Amino acid sequence: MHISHLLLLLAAGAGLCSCTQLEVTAQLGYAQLALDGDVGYSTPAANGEATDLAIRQDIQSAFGLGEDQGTPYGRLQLDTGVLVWSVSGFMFEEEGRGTLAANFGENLTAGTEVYTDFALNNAKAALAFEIGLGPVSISPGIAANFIDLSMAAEDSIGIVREEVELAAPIPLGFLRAELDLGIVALVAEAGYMSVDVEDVEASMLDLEALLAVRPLDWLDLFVGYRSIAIEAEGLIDEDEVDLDLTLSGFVIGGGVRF
Amino acid sequence: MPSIRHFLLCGLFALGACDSKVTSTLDPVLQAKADTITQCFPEHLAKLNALLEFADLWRLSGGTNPPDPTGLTWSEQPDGTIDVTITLTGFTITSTISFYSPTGLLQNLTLPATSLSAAIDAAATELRNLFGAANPFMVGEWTMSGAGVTGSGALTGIIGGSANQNELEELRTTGATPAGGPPAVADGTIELTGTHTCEMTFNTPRLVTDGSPTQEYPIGVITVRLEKTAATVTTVNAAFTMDGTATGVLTVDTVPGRFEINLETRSIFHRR
Repeated sequence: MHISHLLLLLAAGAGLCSCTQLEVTAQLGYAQLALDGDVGYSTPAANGEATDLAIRQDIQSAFGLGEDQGTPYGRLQLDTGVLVWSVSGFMFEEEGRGTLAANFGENLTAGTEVYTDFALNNAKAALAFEIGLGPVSISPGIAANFIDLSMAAEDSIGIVREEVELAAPIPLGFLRAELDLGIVALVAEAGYMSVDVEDVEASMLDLEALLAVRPLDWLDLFVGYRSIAIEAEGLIDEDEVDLDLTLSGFVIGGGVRF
Repeated sequence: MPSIRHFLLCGLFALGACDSKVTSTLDPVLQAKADTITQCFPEHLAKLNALLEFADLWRLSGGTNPPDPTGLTWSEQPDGTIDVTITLTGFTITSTISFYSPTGLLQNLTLPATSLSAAIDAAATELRNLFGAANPFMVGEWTMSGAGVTGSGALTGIIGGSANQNELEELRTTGATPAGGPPAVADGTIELTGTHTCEMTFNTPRLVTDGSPTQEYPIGVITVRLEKTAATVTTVNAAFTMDGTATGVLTVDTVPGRFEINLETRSIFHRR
């Protein structure tokens, strides 16, 4: 599919929406998320060539991360009847202490006790074309997932600090499915991208499932699950970074519809 | 017309190049200070321990002050002072111990010749009999010498407790000369010379080594200044706190956290 075809499809949907009812849902909640996975980071050899030695290390034992962390969670959705626009986001932070199993970066060596700061700010904007099938609707579309990830590790004294920062809007293929039974609705969203370019191989899978209860027309309560899995391996600033991280956990909250 | 795949690839290029970066930083000043501590302090602590073991002879608690160690020789001088030499592995401590009234008058006491331990115990008892509840004191002016080791200073021990239950109330680093009472607190210095030169200047206004007959490790704070001279000179100022356990804590200015030091093994472990 070419992007022009998709845009035409979305434009057609936008035209249709002008004769349907507009619904806005604003939700705020609490996410209990935990990090899991491995990270590797190494510097080039003296001759400038990549060493291919970015040995992945478990973020729990090596960096002391992985405990459940609470974070605020927000979501705004605009349903035009055909097109569904949604924006959601959260900010995740964790500090930990671990012992490196392998070298990390230029100066932190295996066996060093390190103090780690991890932050992942995420904002996801999605546009889906809703295809209604009775109480079920399927909404394919596109999403832009803005990831702002930073991970810094330093020795206990603070002499050496190694930091990896990834910040980029990542476009995703996106699918949204909803089962609406009136007072109860089940919403699932999935976004995925996998590419292999010159210096970086990366993939991202973003899953979100929400069970919404609507006891009143204007009131929306939800509980759900969110998972973001990021794999990236390649050269950043000529250093080799290899990470495989999953941030997942439950979300709960409520909102209003009008 | 770009394809969806091209659009996705552009996004990934952003991941690789846009605002993504790796940063490696090393603080050379902090590194030099940490090296000064880890490379200098353990050896200095060994010498300081030897000095405190020498002062351990002044422990009086219950009249059971420790016996003379191996390598110790001593002799009483005509003016009542005692000359002491302790030969340890690699270096020697020499000292002159003087006994004073609470107002700083030198005392010429009657001391037994059996051992330095017995002599100090007898001196403490006699001072208590002479001066009652006021605190007499003793001053040990010391020098340290050996291969790659030099040092000097003075320790003052304040005698307290009840008669025949004497105790060393506290130990101070001081000057050698009383002035109407115990000498003022002053620095001691130990210098070690090897692949690099480490000089430690230290003082303490109050170190308790004799709080009970079973006390094994000192209680108190020693202010330390370490200077390491190699290609450059690095100086750190620190406080070494001992709480009566085998672990002392060294806190160093401008260095975050603390260094925990095992007084027996002299191993160092840094904690935030």
